[in-house]
Amino acid sequence: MNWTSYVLRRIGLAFVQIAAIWLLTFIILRVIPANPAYRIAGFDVSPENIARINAELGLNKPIWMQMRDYLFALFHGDLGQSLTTGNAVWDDLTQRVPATLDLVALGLTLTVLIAIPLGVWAARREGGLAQRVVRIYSLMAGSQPDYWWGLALIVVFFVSLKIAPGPVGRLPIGLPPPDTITGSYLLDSLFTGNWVTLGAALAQLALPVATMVIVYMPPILKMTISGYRAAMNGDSIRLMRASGVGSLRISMIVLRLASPPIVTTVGINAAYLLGAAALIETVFGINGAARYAVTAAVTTDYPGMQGVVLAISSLAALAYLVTDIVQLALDPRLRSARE
Amino acid sequence: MTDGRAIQISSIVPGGGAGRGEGLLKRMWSDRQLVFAGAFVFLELLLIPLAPLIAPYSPVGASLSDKLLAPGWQHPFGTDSNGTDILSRLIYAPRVDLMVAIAATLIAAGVGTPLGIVAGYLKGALGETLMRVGDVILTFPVFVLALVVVAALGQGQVQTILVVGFVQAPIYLRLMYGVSAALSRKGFVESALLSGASRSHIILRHIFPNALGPLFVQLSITIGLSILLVSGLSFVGAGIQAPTPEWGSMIATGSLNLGLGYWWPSVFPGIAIGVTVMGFALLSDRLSAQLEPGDARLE
Repeated sequence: MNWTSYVLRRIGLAFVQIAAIWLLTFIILRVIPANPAYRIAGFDVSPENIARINAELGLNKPIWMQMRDYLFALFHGDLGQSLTTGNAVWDDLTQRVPATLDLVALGLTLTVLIAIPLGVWAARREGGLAQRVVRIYSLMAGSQPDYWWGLALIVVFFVSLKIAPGPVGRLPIGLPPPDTITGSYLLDSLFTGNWVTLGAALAQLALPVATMVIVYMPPILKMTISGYRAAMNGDSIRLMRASGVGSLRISMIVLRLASPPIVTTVGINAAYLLGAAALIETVFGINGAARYAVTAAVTTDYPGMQGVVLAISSLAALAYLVTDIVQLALDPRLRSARE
Repeated sequence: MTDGRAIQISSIVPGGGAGRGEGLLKRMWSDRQLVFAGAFVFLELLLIPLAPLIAPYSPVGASLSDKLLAPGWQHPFGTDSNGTDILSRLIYAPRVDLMVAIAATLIAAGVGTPLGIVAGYLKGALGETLMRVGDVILTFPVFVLALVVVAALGQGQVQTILVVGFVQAPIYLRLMYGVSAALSRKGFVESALLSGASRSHIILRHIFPNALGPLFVQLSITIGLSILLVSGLSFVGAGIQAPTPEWGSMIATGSLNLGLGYWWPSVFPGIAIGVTVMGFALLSDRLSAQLEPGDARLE
């Protein structure tokens, strides 16, 4: 078995995925005709003015030249200037990507930590009640939009009960962010021992993270139940039970056997959440990367859009990469197949 | 010809599958959940032509003296910040949400299905390339991809249809590729090939009819997802804009007054989305149980 060569090949594939998405968005944004020059021009839509703006944005060049220029600038850490915020897209993203990551990382971690024990518990129950409850919950949670759940939590826990902070973003109004190390408020306040800020940032994340857990737990929960039940009936497990191996020990082994599809589901969810975060960020006033994509879309901000797509596709590719490597570590059969 | 069992051949001979079809309908009719979901979806679709007859008020009429009235006898679901009756807006909204979602789903299926079936049967280099492109699209967060297309196309009903259709076409491409590749190895396809049938005949008469089951299940799943996507885009202001009765934008407008305790302008449209999507989810769940009985599902 050669781990290094597999991992290297897999990293290569991740770069191919990122490049393909970049190419696709570049073509979509250039070939389809919503011209940002008209938005910038405002009332002066004379052909001369439009041509001048197009030349400024470089949109009058052939598409392959635009691509070349973009890649050249990219290697110098330059993603262009946002047409909406007026800042360098790179600077905008270093502010906002950590906000999305804080939300998605915490949300996904909690989801997994709740879904797996709950799934194992439901799978071990005889009779269909636990599973029927899971089915009804999945149907309800998955049908109601995530942003609606977010608003419902705000009404209950902020407006009525007044035990959660209001939807004003990553920190309460007036509290300065921690000294920047990684950009993540959670990590930075942890590293600098800034407990007040850490507590406030966590409190701000409570409702958005709860929204994520409620809405995105069902697939992981269902996969845990079905995987666990299938593995539980395997011959080796029956033999272990017959020979008196402890039930906790058996649970851990069954869970390990059932884990590959669960890991895949978590990976797919991680990538999906990077986009779905846009809705949750909008509800809770968080200035994250996904919400930046919304602003870029409605204001035809080409450079902003391209930059944020590059950032999100890199993160999504990373999520799939980690999923595949974990998969390989978990499943010996995959390793031997690659020998 | 290892798999040329009689039942598979009879199911694809025109007219010869009638007995099986009758049995299937009977079985579907006796599935109470399926009948309930089907009836619910049908009734909601009826709202599209009948909205003007059912809605008690105009879905866009504004009256400042009636603004933000709590749910009561006059307005069962209350009024919004324009003084418009929320129930009436909810009744009109399927004209936008359902129509856009269905049109987008049909575009996605209309593009993805033929490409997937042909690519799956022929398995050429072109088909392989197409599948790789589709896979790349499917791995990218769908909401951001939709926003990219919004940035290019702009906002509005037609644009939203195209956006949602575009991001979902790869689902059908992937599904139909797999179905078609599996069917092309079956005995009845091989025997048709041996008896001299042309490729187009095999694709149209043998592969396509047998791919309809998975296709219907997927259609019902994707309409639900499309509704969530359309209303989500509208919620963040990248889909259908405010005066048009649309669930997502109603929630967004209502959320502005949420902090003051006016919960009804946001809560009811969300429930409308929820029951609609749930109806389609239940329908697809039962349809797949009936059409793909071999498929072990989580109950």
